[in-house]
Amino acid sequence: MKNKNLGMGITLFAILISIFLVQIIIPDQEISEKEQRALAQKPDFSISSYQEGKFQKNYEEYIEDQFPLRYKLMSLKTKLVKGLGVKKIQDVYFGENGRLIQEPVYPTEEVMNLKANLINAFQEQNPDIIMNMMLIPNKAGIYAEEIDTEYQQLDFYDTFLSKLTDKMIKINAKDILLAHKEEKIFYDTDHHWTTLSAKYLADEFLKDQETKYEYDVYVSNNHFIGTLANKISYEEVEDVVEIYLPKTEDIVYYVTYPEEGKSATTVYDLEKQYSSNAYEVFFGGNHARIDIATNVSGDKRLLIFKDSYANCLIPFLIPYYSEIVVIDPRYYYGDIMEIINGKKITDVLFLYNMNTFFGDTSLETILNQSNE
Amino acid sequence: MNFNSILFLFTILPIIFLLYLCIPKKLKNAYLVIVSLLFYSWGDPKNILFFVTLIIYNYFSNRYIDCKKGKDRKLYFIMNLLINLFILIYYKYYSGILDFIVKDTIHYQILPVPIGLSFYIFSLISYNVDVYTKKIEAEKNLIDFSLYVSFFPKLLMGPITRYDEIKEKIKKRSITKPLFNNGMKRFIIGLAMKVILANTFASILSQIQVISVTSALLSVFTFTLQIYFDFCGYSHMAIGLGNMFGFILPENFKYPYLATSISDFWRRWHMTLGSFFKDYVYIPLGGNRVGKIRLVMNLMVVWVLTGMWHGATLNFMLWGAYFGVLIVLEKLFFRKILEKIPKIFSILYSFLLVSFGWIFFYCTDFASISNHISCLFGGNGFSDFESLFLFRNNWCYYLIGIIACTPIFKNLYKVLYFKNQLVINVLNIAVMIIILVITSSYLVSDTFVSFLYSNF
Repeated sequence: MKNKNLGMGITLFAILISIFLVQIIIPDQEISEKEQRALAQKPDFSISSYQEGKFQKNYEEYIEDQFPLRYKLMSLKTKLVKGLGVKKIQDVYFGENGRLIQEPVYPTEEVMNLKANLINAFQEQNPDIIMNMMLIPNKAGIYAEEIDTEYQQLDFYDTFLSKLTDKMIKINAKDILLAHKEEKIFYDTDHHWTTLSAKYLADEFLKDQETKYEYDVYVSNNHFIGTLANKISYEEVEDVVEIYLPKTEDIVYYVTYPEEGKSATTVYDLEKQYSSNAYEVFFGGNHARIDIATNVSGDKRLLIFKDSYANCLIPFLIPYYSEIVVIDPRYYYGDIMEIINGKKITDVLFLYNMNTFFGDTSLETILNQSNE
Repeated sequence: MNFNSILFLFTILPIIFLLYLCIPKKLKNAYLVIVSLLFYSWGDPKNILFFVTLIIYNYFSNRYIDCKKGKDRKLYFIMNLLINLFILIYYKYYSGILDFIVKDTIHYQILPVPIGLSFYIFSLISYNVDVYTKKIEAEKNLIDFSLYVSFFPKLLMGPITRYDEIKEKIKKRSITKPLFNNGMKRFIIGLAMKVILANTFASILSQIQVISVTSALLSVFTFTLQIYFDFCGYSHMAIGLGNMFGFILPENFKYPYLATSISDFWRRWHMTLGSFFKDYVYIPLGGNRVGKIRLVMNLMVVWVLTGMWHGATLNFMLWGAYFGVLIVLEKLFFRKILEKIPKIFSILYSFLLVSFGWIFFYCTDFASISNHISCLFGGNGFSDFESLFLFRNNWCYYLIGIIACTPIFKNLYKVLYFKNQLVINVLNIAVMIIILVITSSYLVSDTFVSFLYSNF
């Protein structure tokens, strides 16, 4: 055998040994901030768990989870693969300028009809309530030219809204976002929109109101790495999370979380500010039900059906309603009509991003129950 | 345990090897047997006792046969052979046969096949026959015999090794620098083939829906590459590991997709299996020293058996028969033509026929086979967005894959400008370090994708 691989064996083996030693020396980590999960710990050995093969599986998971530089290696792979021309990893596309775009959900005609019919029926059952639909396109829709997809999300936007009754007010999120697309209206690394674009849409929603409020912009977190980047271990870009605080001190409000028995005098959860999901500074994340009571006069009381996109928009609505009830149908199992009658709701707002709206069926469940 | 795991690469391998260096020479074989048995029990704890019993049984039965003569010898040989064969058939084809007979009407327990069964049973059969025909003497040392059967690099997926191919090294070997260098390098290359290429192609394949010509083409092409890098990658790892411990295991692959005929393909793909069937089935049946009709029969028997070895469902028999027919046609009619036409055409001819044949390998039911074939020939439209996108998205892998089917990467250093040996060596090592790092990044990122051939 020709010896043309001089030094190869010893060098490579030395690397294996070094890594082995590093694994032993470095203490075990308990959680992974980036992946938002607990890391596997050393399993206990028992004859029975070995015979079942359980010990082996757990031990291999333990070794893999505790591997030094694990996240660095994962992001190396993402970088490498992106360099090789891969445009999509799992369900995340690489857009331009560091933007990550989640694959859009394509609803079938049946799904769209089903949802539209339920919403229309709900409106019919409550003819005195002002009903609003704010359907928000995702990056896949606004930046469709940056990705290679079979269908266009914005086509579904138009189709669906045309199925809703004329008695519903349809806020034109599509045109507003398209108009501002050169600005930072979505986070690059996350599937959410930014507070800036929430403000644009809130302004549109409140355009007939007489009083306008001014806001100061504060940076909540300027090293935000969101869900999409974490999913594919992408470290190239960071986002900034902003909070808009009203300049006026006249508005006072009180927040209750009835399902959880908690309450607060602010909508901001500062404990989540520097957590790995910095978007959760708004309300601390999603809750089944949020009640906001304000000192605003007048008889306007708002009920919102929403997903997490609403979390950074709701603060802009507070000065205009004496009560706001926020329902996330994914977690709420109560009676909607009870809220509507009990709280004397005057306005309803459906606030959804298209992916969650078409990917989730919990809204149908809750509307079905109320329509009975 | 899998070779393609962080655990093996960065913990088990370093430990096993370092300990091996420290163990005194007389005990090295015993050490390797213990390691191999532990290795087996890690992956298949429920069958380790079965495996050990099988080894001990074969050790005694073959020594016994070696003491006998004449009719007795023949009788015990046949019994021994039948027992080993029965074990293989029982575990492997039990559910397949039952399925065929009763077709879902009765519930039965499927016995999980002991890992590596198809490989080491064939090793044992070759040993049985070689002892009986007096090609070799039955091994008297139990440890050495156990090492032959259980040697962990080849335990799970071959190469299928004859006793005379490894006996010399079992008795006396040393780890020379070239062996260790080549072995370490080869192991990493095999690992990279599996983790970077085979696993990626497996993931792509799982996303393809065969509904058009392009998706059918992509499906076949992807599997063609996947199975090659999966199995050849494993063989590189096995042989490389063997080298590191001073063994030289037989080669299993020789750029099969560059074959110039189907017959040539089977002299390059899973070579140890092919030569097993040739030496222990084809030649005893008369080989090609028989009349034409008998020749066709012999060939068909060998190829159907080859197909069946790969799996218990009917599609594998079909796969084997497909090659049987092609080889018969080649032997009787095409051979002269293939030798005359330019090499590029015969390579293309083989590659296309072999790729097409994989349909019968990875589609286990008639419905999906007929869907593949009908889509492939335009039965359902030409293209669909998804398959085109999948190809575009992963074109780099396909390009690297095609090149890696040839010796181009291996011979790259020959065209290097630098004449300085030292520079070449350093570059060589640098490239391997990069490959190791990249492979590790894939290992850490991927969810587990098991070896295709480990189901056999």
